[in-house]
Amino acid sequence: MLWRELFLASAITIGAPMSQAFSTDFGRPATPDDIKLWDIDVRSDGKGLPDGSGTVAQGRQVFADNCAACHGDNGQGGIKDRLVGGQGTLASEAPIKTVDSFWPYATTLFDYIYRAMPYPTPGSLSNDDTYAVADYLLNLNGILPDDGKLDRESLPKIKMPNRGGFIPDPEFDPARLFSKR
Amino acid sequence: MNGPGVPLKFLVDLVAKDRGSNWMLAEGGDAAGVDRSIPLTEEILNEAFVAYGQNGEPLRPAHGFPIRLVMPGFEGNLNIKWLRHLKFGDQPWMTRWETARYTQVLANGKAEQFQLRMGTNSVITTPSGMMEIRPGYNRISGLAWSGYGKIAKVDVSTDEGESWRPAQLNMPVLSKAQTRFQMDWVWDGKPTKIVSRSTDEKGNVQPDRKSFIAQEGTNAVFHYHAQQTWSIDEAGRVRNALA
Repeated sequence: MLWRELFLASAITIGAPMSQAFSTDFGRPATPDDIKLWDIDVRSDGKGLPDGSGTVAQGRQVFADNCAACHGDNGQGGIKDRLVGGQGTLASEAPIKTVDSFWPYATTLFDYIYRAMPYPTPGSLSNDDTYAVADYLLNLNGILPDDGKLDRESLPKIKMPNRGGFIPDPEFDPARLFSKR
Repeated sequence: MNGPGVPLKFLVDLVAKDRGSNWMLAEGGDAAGVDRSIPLTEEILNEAFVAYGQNGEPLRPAHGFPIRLVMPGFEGNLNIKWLRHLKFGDQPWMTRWETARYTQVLANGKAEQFQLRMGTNSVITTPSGMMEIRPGYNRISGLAWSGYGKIAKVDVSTDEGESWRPAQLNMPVLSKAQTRFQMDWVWDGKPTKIVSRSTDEKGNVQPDRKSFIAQEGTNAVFHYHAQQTWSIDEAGRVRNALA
């Protein structure tokens, strides 16, 4: 493991006095199944992406079934966010921030959709469905061709149009914050 | 926020994270599984904690029961509620909440990212929007806070920012915590505008709205901390001056 992790399901006893909260021998260790359920985060370099894959055609169906009710047909927006278009609007009075115009990393699609979407039943999409719907969204935005296929290898390699559109706060710039002086 | 908890540093030492893992992903157990990347600076390691109680009782459900992360001085949703998972790594994860959201779009279209620290801020809470006051004595009261440390002073204007008077600060004034301020005022019954302006111990002054917009543009909504002005009409009705 490159990371050490801490799963907190059982680590804290509610209402325990401070002195007991420092004991490490209460609760129960997280089981592998506990960990698997929650170990779903995906980093911008692709670390954390699971097996599986999806196509634009599959994603079109997944989107129609699960997403279009809020995001509109073809991601044009509805009661929730518009997901396509908006390029060239960021410097205007009313910027349209979409996956296409704003999101710097394609991996964020997987991390967010898999954990948080669809709104009524978050976490219900399979890995394949999640790759597929990300594929479909990137295709709608002209970033992937109609026959584009997404998996753990190809998703992190996609260069999003607004990748260079972010300025790190000097105090917390990831490129410099912990570099050796 | 005050209440019992476990220092983040204790948990970090407990799991003996890799030396190069200077970023931490904190993830909530809410339906969206909100996940944010947090830089493990000395300040954050020394001040952040995982809370399980507040005001003598367990955390309330809306506040993150059973446990939440508390990050004094840092932006709201870094204080992950219903905390279920901490992971350590050598770079930020670039989640939706630190890319698509909580980034400040500037006038030139570029967006500031990882602008995590709260700006120097204050607001008058009494009288405030939708309240109604009468001519004569009124006590102005509000809250001030800063992500940089203690509030050093709060000035209040009752004439649209023409002149300012220092408000009293309620003790104790704590670092990166809300500070209650107050000022006696006799309202002459004429329409006016009232506004507060805080200064923290590092000398950061809460900007007026015009200066904030001149620097950040009109779309930098996630870290808005400019002065909040209330207008009072001849009937004593208090409204947002921008409404």
